[in-house]
Amino acid sequence: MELDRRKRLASLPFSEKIRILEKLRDRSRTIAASGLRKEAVRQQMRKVQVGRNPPGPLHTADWTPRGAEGQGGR
Amino acid sequence: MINGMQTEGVIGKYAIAGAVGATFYLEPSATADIEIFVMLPAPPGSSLLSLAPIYKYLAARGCRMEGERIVVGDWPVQFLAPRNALEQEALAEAPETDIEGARTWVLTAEHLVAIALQTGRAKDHARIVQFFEENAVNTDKLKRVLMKHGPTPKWESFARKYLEE
Repeated sequence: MELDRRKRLASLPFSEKIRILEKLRDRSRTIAASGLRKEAVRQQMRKVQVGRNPPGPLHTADWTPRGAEGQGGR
Repeated sequence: MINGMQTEGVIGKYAIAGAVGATFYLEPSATADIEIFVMLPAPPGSSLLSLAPIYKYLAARGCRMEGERIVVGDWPVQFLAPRNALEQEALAEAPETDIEGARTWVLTAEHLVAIALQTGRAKDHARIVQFFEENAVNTDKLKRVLMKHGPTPKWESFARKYLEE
């Protein structure tokens, strides 16, 4: 189904595909300008930083492996 | 504007490469810029090629620089002179097409795949897989290009990793 959709899009005339590319590009610029992407990156960076200094073994900001709960590191 | 540059002899043949070139054969996928291979006429008395005349021509017509790209219309465009035999052949053999009546050239699917393989970033590999999933590449022709220009070991490794079922 997904491949069919992609093939249908691939069969469009090049001029039409360019128009789609322009819409994708403009949407991407709008998202970049809105700061949403920066916020998502900031949140991801925060998670990574917490993961670098774990309070317990293999602990990340929002996930601790089963059985490792409460095993605080030194 | 790019065709005008060609008519005035600032550039020779040009061809669209990269993600926009791939879109000629595949479904459109988001990209921020257009990569264009250009044949540059050598200045009289010199064998050094420079992209400066392109930037000068376009800047005189209101285009502005954005890093290493120049914005033509709404698109940041990166002009690239072919760096090796593969890219020279890709440009020379690029077929002519048209966008809304304006003639233009796009690299062949096989050259786009070979160059993506040579560049070798994750997004290039993803694009190669797309070409194969959509049967958009002639395997025999691709093998000829790869054997002629050398990235065959890279190809074997890529095919083993991504294309074998």
